[in-house]
Amino acid sequence: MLLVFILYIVPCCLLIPLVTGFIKYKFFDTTVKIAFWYLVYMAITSAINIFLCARHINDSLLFNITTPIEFAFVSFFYRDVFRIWNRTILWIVCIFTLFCLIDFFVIQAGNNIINSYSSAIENFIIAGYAITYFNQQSVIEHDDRWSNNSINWVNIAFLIFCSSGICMFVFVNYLSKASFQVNLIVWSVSDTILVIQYILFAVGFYKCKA
Amino acid sequence: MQSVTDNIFVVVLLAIGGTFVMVVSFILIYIRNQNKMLLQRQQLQHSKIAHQKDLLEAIITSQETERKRIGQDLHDDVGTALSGLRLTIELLQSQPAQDNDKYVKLSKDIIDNVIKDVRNISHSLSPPALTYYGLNAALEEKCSIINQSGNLNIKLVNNAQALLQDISQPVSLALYRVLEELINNTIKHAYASAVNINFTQIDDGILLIDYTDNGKGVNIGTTHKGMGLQNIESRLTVINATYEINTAEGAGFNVNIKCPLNS
Repeated sequence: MLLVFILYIVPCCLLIPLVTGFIKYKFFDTTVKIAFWYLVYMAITSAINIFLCARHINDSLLFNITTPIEFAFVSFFYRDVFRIWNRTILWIVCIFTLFCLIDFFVIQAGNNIINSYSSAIENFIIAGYAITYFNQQSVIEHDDRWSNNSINWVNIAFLIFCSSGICMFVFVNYLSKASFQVNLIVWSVSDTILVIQYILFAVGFYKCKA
Repeated sequence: MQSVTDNIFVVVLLAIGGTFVMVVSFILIYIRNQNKMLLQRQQLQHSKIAHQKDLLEAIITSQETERKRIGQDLHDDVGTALSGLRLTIELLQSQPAQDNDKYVKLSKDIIDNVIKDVRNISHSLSPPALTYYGLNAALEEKCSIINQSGNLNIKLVNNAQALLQDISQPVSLALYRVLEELINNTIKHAYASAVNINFTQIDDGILLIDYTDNGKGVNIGTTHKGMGLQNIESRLTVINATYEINTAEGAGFNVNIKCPLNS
């Protein structure tokens, strides 16, 4: 049952924000569009992942490739949100990509090892972006309710998933040595938070108005 | 190895769950605070708008009252006197020539009265002393007229002579009207016997007007802000002046007005 949840239900949940985004796409500004295309990218990688799992092919290489691209998407989203630190964020993306390569070829080299260091650092930086956004927003006087701003929803989606995911990715390689049932439980907890992230994305897209 | 990984599994689950709960709590508290701040800002904005509306209403009402008063003065004094003059001239035509002098004198008296009434109306609209001699002189004139009645003694002390010399016409007119309103309030409501008005220069270019009467005072907390006070506030707001009222029942009435004159 948990395997079905992880392999099929969670990826299917990605359709919730994608369909909402597709309907509301004409109201999107550049920032929300980046978030939408990030989800499209996530959908493609999930599809490849399901395909690999169905054929019993090791998917750790996929994780190593997708991590820097995923991070670049999120970084460009926040670069558009912040409107400042453009160069800094570009530098962060470049340095992180370089670190992913070093991690893949040197630090965590090997076919069966997931890039736990780079994933944990990725989540850590994204959580930092989200908190910076909160800090930036807290000093601005808003005329509208918090819930009416679509960026707020996308931001909390990233914050909830990435901050919860840090611990998950730190120990992910240790967990691979645990029993299949243990892995199922841990991944299902992580995927439940992923579903929450998708729902928050959908709410954010839904809040976009002309 | 199995037991170690099982322990890690518990630790990971606890860490994920704990972080999730903490982050969600942080977000909920943040959202609640943001909405609370928004609500406070909206309430403040509404009260500001309501206050501005009250002030505008006070200005319009006072303008209408003033127009009504001028209309009444013109009708009762000037109109009546001119009707009397018309009747006198008609009588003059029908009377024998030897009575002409009597009617001419009567007509002249009526014309003098009309001139006096018109002057009074025009003075009340724009005191000439204010235009020609400044705020202090206009107030001294006003005070001496009131002091002559014997019911109220107004003492005017000017310790800001230099500052008052450079005061602009709109500001001096506004301050004159404010003090006139305060004196009217004292006469009408305070049952006071003495009023002190002090002009002092405090900081650079800031005039402090200290107005005090020894009347019955009011309880500001329970008394509704009347049209007169709203008028005062609107006039002071226009010239960027601030005011502070110190009063209590039986303790007289005091108001300190701080007016920047540099701008």
